[in-house]
Amino acid sequence: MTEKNIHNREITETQLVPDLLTGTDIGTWQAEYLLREVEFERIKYGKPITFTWAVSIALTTFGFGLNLFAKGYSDVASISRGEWVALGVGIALSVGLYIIGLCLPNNRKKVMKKIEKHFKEAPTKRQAFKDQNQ
Amino acid sequence: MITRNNMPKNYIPFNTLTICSNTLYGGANLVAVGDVLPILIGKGERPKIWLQALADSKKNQFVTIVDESISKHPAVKVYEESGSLNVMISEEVVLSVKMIDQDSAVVEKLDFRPIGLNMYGNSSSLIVGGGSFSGNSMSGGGALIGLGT
Repeated sequence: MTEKNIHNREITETQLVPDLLTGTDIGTWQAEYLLREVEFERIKYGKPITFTWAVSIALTTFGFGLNLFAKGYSDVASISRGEWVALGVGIALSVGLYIIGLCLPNNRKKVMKKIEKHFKEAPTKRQAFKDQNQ
Repeated sequence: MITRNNMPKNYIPFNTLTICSNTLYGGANLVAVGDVLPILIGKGERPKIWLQALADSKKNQFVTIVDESISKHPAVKVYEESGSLNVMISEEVVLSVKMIDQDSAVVEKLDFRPIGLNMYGNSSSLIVGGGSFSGNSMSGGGALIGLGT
């Protein structure tokens, strides 16, 4: 630390002080969310299995639908009644499973809501902090 | 940021401003970090204070926390008590200014350590870094203290 003691003088030029800054900054701070392992597991696997089934069937049905489109592009009549029924069953199954999933308890959604609520309510504030590198 | 070339429109310096026993005449500033002026005390019906805190010490960036005696942050309070205008940060008074008359004011307490500047003092002396300043005077538009290399 530089020592500069000046008393009872008429100063005509700026007195330079090398250690004028403390190294303390004003930063923005928000309380962090303490994610427990069980919550991490819920985020990873907490979705109802019916959502996964619904997506799998929907993708398969979509592929089947593209095939039907190719087949019936020039002649719609070439698509058999059974193929239309299969497409309809696929769509109905995936929609049905998705709706069932909405009714089942969804732990992933619960944890995500909890995290969202935390960040919405935890106030951000400016606070002084010492630079770790100094 | 408030700098020598970007002063607030409503800032009119006191002709005599005594800060911790050091007297600044004719608009001299207390401290400058490069071109930035972290504190300005101007005259008005009551003293007008502009205060900037160090936001990034590596880039010398400052953020305004008091603008014309109005707090710009919930952690900063500006209040009047016993004829003095005080600025408080996190329950600590960092600046206390008393107006003597229309053209002179006195800073009786100052502690800028919470805002990143190594300076504090009372009515008898001002401690800056490892040194002290008391009973000095300065005139003109320069700054009494600057960041040295």
